[in-house]
Amino acid sequence: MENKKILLNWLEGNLTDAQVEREIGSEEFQLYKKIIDTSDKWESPNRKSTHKANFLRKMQSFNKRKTNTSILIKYAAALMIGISSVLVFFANQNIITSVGNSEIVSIFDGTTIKLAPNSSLSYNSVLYFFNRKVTLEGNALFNVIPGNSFTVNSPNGEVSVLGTSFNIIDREDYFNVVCFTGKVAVKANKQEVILKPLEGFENLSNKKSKFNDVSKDSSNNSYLYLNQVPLHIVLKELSNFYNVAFNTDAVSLEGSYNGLFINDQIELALKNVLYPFNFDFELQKDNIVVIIPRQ
Amino acid sequence: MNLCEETFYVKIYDRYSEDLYKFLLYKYQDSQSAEDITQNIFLKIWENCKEYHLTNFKSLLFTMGNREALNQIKKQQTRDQYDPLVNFSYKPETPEFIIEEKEFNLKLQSAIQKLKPDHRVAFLLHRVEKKKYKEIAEELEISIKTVEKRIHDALLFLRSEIVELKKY
Repeated sequence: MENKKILLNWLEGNLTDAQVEREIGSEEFQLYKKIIDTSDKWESPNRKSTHKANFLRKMQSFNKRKTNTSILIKYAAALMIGISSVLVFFANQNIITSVGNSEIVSIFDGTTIKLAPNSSLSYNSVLYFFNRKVTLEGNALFNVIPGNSFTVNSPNGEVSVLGTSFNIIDREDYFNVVCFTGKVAVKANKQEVILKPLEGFENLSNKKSKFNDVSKDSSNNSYLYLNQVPLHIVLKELSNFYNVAFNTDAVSLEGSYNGLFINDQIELALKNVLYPFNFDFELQKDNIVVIIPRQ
Repeated sequence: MNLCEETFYVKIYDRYSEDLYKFLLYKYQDSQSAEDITQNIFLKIWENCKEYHLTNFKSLLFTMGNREALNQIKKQQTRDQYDPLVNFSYKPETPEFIIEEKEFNLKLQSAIQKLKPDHRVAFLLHRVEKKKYKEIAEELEISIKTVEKRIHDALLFLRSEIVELKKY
């Protein structure tokens, strides 16, 4: 056996001192033996007795930190949800006009909406910032500041524009949109039409129609151009604007009205609407208008 | 067998931290940083307990410990490499030769400090920790042949150091 093998076997306890001494010589062996005997008497160094306590403490403080941050994150998330839902909730704007009263609604982007009597408009001013969406029931004239798509949802349809002025009447089953400037996209009756200035759409004929004569003030809402609006709807609008009730027992309300709707002078407005149908009227007390055939 | 389970992990610490500590102490000869690194490694594994498994746990410990020790050494290059920070307590058995034995003991300890770190680890695990070649090979994930070579080389080096010292 070579010396290396002998020494290694001896170190591992497989050979006796005498055997090794014989193989490699006494002088060399005695020095090896002294080295090994000395190192064998060394005690394995002790760790500090506190090492485990220290480690457990570090472990605990990490655990605490972990739970603390996860609780913190939970609270922060709950708070964020709370704040945003409160914001969205309180940002809900709901404007309702009673009979006889109009209202002008200005939104922060500069868009103005003239809300006719007996109508309602609602939007969320936080969400509006992102989607420019409003909901309408009734009659309103819109003047939309150019920008992102502006959308009006109403029971009978959806109107979207980029920036323009237009009027919507949505009463019961009747839906009428007229465009004054810009372009207006109307979705109703499962179809979509694009209106250019001086075009209108209403859902009875279910098509677009042009009107050539429109008052310069038509977008000013003191005159509103009505395009093929059924007479009973026009009378309803009149009763909304002037807070009157109609007695129509003496006549039958058929046909559509084409023309101006004047919303600040009742007599002129009534003449404008009723004369073309050969009707006359009597203004009575208690705001009752009796419609009679014209002599 | 989930490392994220606290009582189980404390048991793992009891079972393995001593081995990592001894390995770092023998290799880098600094009891304070050996203890610090041992605790840091066990804390690191606890903090990311989901990422670790018990298979090959010991070699994971040694690899992480080695890396951390090397980083620390890079940071504190000012320290004297042969600063004797491992001191073995020694119990002489034969009172007559106490002085001579003490002297030899000191010589041997300073020779130990001059060993190559890997050789020192193998030699001390064998002599002081009383481990067999096979156990050391498994622990360090090296072959038995390598362990034998390191221990043999260590013994020859120690002998030549002692011979050198005797000349003066």
